[in-house]
Amino acid sequence: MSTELLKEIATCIERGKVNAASPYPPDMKGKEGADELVKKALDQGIPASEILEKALIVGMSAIGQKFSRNEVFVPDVLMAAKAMQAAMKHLRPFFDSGEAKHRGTFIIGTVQGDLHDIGKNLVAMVIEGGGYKVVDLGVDVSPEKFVDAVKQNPGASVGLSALLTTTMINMEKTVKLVKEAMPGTKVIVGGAPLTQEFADKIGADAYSPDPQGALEFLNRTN
Amino acid sequence: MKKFSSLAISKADELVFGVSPNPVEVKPGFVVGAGETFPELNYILPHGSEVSHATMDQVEHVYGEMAKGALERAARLGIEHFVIEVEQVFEMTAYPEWGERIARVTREAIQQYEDKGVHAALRMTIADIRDRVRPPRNRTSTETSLVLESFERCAPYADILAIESTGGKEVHDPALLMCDSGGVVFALGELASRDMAFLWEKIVSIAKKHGKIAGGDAACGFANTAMQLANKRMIPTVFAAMVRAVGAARSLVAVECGATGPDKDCAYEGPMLKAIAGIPIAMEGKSAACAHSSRIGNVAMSCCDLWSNESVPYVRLFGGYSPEVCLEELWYDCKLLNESRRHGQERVLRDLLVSSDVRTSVEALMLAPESVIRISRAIISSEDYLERALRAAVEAIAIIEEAVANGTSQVPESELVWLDQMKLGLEPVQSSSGKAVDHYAAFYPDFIPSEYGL
Repeated sequence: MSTELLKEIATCIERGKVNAASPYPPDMKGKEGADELVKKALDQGIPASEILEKALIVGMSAIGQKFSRNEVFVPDVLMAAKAMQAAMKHLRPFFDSGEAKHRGTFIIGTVQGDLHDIGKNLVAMVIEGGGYKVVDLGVDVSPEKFVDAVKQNPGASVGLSALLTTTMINMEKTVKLVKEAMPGTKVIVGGAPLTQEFADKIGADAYSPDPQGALEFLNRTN
Repeated sequence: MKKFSSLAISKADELVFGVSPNPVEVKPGFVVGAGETFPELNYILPHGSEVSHATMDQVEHVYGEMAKGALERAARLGIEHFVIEVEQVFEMTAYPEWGERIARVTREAIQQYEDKGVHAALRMTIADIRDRVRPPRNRTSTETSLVLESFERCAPYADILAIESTGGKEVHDPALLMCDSGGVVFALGELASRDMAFLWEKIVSIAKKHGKIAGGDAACGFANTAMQLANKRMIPTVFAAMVRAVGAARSLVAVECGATGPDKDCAYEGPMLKAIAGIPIAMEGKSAACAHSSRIGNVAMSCCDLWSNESVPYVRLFGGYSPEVCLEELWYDCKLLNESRRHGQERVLRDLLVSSDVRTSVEALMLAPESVIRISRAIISSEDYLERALRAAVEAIAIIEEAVANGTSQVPESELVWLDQMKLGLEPVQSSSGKAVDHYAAFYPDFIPSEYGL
């Protein structure tokens, strides 16, 4: 019974079915969504960590992989993230109390001088959907702000985003300061003008052209 | 404010490169839109360059070298007329004295080559830094003052003034990612249009004061963002195509405020402005592949008056430095266009440019002359900013559906479902009865109505 329910929740996450009132997706109109089903699962005594691992992460992973294969578009991922958020609303108290744990913490921001946040937001959503706590520092983030965040979240990994060739250089300083302040911190970089070569040159641990790649990197290193 | 109730070009056959109903003399003896197409060259610092107090002397030197290199190539090839566009990076607007230094050094280089028979014009495009703080305070922030100061400081050295303004972007960005067609129409039709009216009244005033040309304003941060997202398969191409049409309703506001063109190169919505207002336009396409990819590289050329490379970083190639190489490529492109006109074959060439892209791209379909005229008519059928943006969206979707039905343009199977979703998404605008602001403020709270005069 619980397996079926977890599967249903995973489907709601993957399809972006937030709640019963949500008209999206049209073929699930009127059916219960992630909101109601997660509450039902908790009422049945399924542990929050099991709901996260066996339903939420499964659903987000499925949509993330479809996105990587160009089978769906960003709005599909965003709707899945909305469903995920509706589900997490019920699970958050268990994480806050320590009863359930995130896979790790991920600090993300667009580097100093750069205001582009589309890619950054997308990565943040997929990583959160992958079971990580995400600390989103926003755009135009100074190296010092990244360092502060790393100090406040020991063991966290860091993601740096840039869209402009004129701002990607700010990544190098950020990587350097972060690693000086907290040696061993994993840093992944991404953004349209970036390459693996550039990531290597500035001392980043990884480069990913898409959110799923970033999630897979975190799963390997956490 | 001027409003257009009829089209300057009402027949698709008359929408051709090199000729605009209202040509513009960008500098003495250099007229755009009067029969010839000219190159517009844009370049930028090498990848990874820093613009700061510490580097500004070097930055200025490099800009001087880039201009001189291109002008020297022009002198050797015999290119008499072309436009240099300097598109400021954020720092140059944040520190208007830096932007002024770049404008001055470029002007000095241009003047050095006047005696060598090269008569280049300078377009200074100011960066819109108002969007750096979210939610932006488009009317009341320090950044707004810096943008206007930058125009003032650069105007004495420029021939053409331009910008890619960002009003409405704080709503458009999330609407785009959600493929919320109504949200896009609201962002461009209501917010961006209102912001442009605010901004362009001032830009035109500065241009007039200095005797310079108010060029135009590209919906780059909107429709080109959509195009790039579609290129990366992040949103459907059918959605990006619709955004292009809606962007035209927004960019027209600059012209209504007194901009005369030549419109900005990255304003792929330029053909609609040319059809509506008869202004000459710059366009970019296949020869801008150095800057970004697109599916509209040929069709973009079909009714350009200036032909641009969009932007190229300063690097050494076998054939010389990148700006010189780009200028030479653009010049050959223009020579072909101009030669076709001399032989009376311009419509043949235009039609080939159009059909070669339209078959494989609905985004290209939006720029096909027949589509341009239809969308332009839809836009001028209402004077209300929001309503005309909505009508542009409805017309664009209709054009795409017809093309899908008759097989003129290929649309991936996975995108067809989105056409219905796009129509559904427009319903809140159609039924808002003047309350679209309330409706969208609830969905997109990250904008300040008073900064749009609402």
